[in-house]
Amino acid sequence: MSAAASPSGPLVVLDDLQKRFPLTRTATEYFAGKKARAIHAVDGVSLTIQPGETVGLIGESGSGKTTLGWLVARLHSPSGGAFQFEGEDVAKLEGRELRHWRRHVGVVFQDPVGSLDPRLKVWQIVSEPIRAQEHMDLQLYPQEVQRVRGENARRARASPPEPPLPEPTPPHRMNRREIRNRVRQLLPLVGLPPDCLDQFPHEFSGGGRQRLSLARAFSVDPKLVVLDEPTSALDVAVQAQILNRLVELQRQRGVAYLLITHNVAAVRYVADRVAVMYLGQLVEVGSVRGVLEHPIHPYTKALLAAVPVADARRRRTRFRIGGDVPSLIDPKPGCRFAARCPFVIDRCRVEDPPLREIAGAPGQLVSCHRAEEVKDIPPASLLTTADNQPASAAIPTATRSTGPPAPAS
Amino acid sequence: MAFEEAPQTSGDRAKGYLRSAGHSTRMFLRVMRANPLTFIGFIMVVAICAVAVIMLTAPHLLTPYGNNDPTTDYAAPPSWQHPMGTDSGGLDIYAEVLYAVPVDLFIAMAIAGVALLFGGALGLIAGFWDEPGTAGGWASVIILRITDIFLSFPSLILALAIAVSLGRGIWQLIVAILVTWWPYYVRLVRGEVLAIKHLPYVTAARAAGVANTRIVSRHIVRNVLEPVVVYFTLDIGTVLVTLSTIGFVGLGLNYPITPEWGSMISTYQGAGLITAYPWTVLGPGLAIFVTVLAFSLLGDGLRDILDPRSRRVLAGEGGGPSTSVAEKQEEAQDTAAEISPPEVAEGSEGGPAPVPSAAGGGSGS
Amino acid sequence: MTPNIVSVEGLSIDYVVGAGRFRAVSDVSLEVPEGQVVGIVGETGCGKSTLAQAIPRLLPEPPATIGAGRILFGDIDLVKVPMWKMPMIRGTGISMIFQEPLNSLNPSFRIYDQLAEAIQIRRIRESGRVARPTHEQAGYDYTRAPMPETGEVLSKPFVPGGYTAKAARKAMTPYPALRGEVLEYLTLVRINDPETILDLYPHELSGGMRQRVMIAMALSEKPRLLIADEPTSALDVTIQAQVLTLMKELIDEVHTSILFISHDLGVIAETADQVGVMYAGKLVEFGPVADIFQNPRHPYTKALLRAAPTLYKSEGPLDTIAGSVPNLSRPPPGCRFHPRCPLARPVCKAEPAPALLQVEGAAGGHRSACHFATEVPNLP
Repeated sequence: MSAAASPSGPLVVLDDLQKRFPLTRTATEYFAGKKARAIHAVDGVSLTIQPGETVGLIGESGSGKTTLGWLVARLHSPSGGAFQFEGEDVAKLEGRELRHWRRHVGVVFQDPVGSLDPRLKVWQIVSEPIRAQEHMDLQLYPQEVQRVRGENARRARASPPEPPLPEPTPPHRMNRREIRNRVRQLLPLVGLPPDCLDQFPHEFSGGGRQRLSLARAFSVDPKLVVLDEPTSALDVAVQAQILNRLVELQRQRGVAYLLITHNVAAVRYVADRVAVMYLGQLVEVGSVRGVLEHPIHPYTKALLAAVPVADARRRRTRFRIGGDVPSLIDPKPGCRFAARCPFVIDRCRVEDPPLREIAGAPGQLVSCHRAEEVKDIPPASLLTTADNQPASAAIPTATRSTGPPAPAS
Repeated sequence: MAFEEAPQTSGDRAKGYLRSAGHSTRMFLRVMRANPLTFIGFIMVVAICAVAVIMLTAPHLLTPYGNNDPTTDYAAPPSWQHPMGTDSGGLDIYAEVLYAVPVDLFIAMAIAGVALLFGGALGLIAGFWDEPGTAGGWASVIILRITDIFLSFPSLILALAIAVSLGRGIWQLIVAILVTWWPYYVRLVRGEVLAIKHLPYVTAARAAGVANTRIVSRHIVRNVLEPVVVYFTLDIGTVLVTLSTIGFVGLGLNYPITPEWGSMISTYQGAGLITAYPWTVLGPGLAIFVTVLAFSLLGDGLRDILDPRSRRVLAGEGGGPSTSVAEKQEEAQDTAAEISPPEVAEGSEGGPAPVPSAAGGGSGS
Repeated sequence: MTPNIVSVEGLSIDYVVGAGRFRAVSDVSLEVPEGQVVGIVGETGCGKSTLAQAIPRLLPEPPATIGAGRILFGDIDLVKVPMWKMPMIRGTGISMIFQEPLNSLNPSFRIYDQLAEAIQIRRIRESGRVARPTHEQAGYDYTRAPMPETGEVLSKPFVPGGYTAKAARKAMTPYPALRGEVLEYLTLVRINDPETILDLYPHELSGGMRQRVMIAMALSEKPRLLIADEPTSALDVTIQAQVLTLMKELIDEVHTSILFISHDLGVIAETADQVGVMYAGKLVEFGPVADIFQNPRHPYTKALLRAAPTLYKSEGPLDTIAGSVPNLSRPPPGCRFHPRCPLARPVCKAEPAPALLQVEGAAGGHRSACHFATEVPNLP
């Protein structure tokens, strides 16, 4: 809406972003004067997203990645830190301004069935953002006119007089036929036939429904689309189709993606950069090639070793990283992966490792005290054989890049 | 085919405009045929409403007698001329029962309807604007506590007490029962709203920039309506029984002047007529029974009719893969779910305050 | 030749819905040899879960009916066993674990009680109707509960004869006495400090722990066959790897026969000895796991392996399979995959559909239901 954003700067800048969900205190805690505990879903995340790039966010449940995605879409308001969109602070937006800003961000959710109102027809669902934003454009129009007139008055008084800005045209409220036409144009972009406007969501398969969600997200031409596990509920072949579509749409529209997923392979294909989250913090950030082929952080290595690979040699391997994700409630100081890390030293349990760049891996940020030492250890070494010997390096892990595997020995 | 996917509708019709009125009617009739009991209930309800309308406009079509119109046959048992007999005042019971149809129906629907609107509106507010610490949160708390207070009284006794203090008459009766009836709707609607509020499509509407009031009117109300309408239909029967009970106790309408089934039974029973003329209470009793049965049958089947998915199942169409998968899920609890468990595993961190694990072994998941 | 624990022959399962009827599983034949793990892989709607639930007759029979075929458990045909006798076979004969343990564990009972109940059932059956008081047991004992014989199952009454229900209950081992065995099984599934979780409810455990408890419950009955229906699909990647490691170790220690259902090719590759691939209700390929994954002999298997992007990743768009899964109430004639198959020829449309036959030139036991199975290696 404002003219202040520079087109070449980053689209999204997150600086030490935090989100806490306070827990209600029990009566005993209240009277004992204890402070409320909180779930630190996102605990100091700093990330940038450039226009037109795809950032993949990998993590497991309890990592806070969904919360981070919702924060970027401003479905939550941050408890701390800064969130800038095109150079402007949007962390504090509220009410109508916030809703108007939402035209820049589209969201696609995980659940194909719950994402679409079962009582509405396709054209109503896909055009919902259009109608909402139109409504607000209409409401904001008088303000916009005032602003432009004020600016023109100032320009007229300046010496020498500057050329006046054109007055904004009144926004056109699309009637039903126009909206339907617009939806009809949107549907082929996501791979659906343009004449299914009057169908209901339950007549589509899971993949079809996700395409509808995608069409809805793109209907107002956003600059960023946040995708929260868009393909986890779908079959492999359909996943591939949807991912191809995403790449195609990005090429056509220049939209940026924040792809939140636990599917490493999807990230590998779609993303330019990837960030790995663990327990509310980023543990590794870098280019897709760099992080997935040469992971530095032990957790990233563990994640890549754990992904099942369709190769019969994996039958003989054992994954020995034990433990569960610890609780997000008031986490203790020190590295959060220390309890499960195979390379842990005493320092890890006490000191928080900063997210930093290390020598030998330019452009990749890691938060590990022993990053330099563990940097070259491949994920496959985290797999052992049945008698706890290290597995051979020929065992495939999720980092394998091209070509079929060598025949089994 | 240039498109990767096409929705698979029944009969492979890909054209869009098949939701014509004719199609909906045909669908409705097919569902009705598949559920004979619901169909019977529906016919009965339509018949009763038709009778009510006729009795208000052209009563002579159904009975030759007027309201409160004594004949000379006192206390006559049922016969061709008087199908339900007459009472000690010479009134034809069948005629009185018919005249009571619009009265009872109107009162029952008025009570249930106003309770639905009023209680439902409160339930919407209490369910949607539920954030603790905001104005809506406080309103919510107040509404719920007031509802709890009303619910803690035994409803029939409270209604009787109010009826006593207000006196006899249609409006007094409606108010008396209404006061005890609205809290149930608050609870019902609030529960449904809470369930829907966190569904992804509501969040998607929020993410699209839709204002709260529009979210409520467009998404929440429509999806809440379905169980509420079912409850409402069954509720009419319950209201009718309550209202007849009040009439039976003697606090309802003034019988010979305003016909009402409960009051009729009360009058006949009170005057000791039952032992002498047992057929007198049969008429109004049968009327109550038939009406409540009709609404119950209809209400039971309404749920299935309203859901667009089960509509097709009931109508016996073999479905496309989406329907077949949905059917398998619903009917065989097949675990080949499209909504896969990563939603269950990770959904907890998408919203506020997931339940923390007491064992410290791990939250999330 | 190892004997088969379960042998499915020509099984067809229909769903009757409203006026329509469709065939979810169509003429499937497979065997689970003793001590081996057989994996079934396929996409949503291919019928693998239906098949898995049909074997212990857990499908609700009114909408689902077994149209044809036999399910041989030992020499009992499970299709012919009346429903009320099936509980005798389940648990100790055939046990099952499911995808979402939060739904499969009773939320109202503590872990101890649930595990003790499973052990209780096994003891009653082992001792031939009456449970004896427990004694200390040394080490793990993997001898099986006596297999009910055909005559026994079909002729003897289900309720222990001669005992009233009350007397039978009194004869059972009280739950507290089973504590030792409960802890044993929890240790078997590699839960550290099992005493700490005995008193917890299922929702208080994490997903991985719940799944381990489920596995412990299933194994405590010492089943002949364990059916695992997508047991790790609900878990996070690292937890899934832990549970799969656990299962691999248990397979090596306990030698239970397992029928493992999954949509994830990687999970199947890690656990199975033999793999069956299902598509649209039919079994299209079956064989040793290494052979199937390296030299698939059915176009669908090959396409599936290509579309799973982990292994065969190259730059450029991901490989997809053109078209979509057919409508099972109107399946394509002949081979069900032919509308999407790169090798399709006119013969593929003709009935009958290609049978599952040994492929020439492939390893022994590698069968494929494709007329042109020998040409599949030439596909890209």
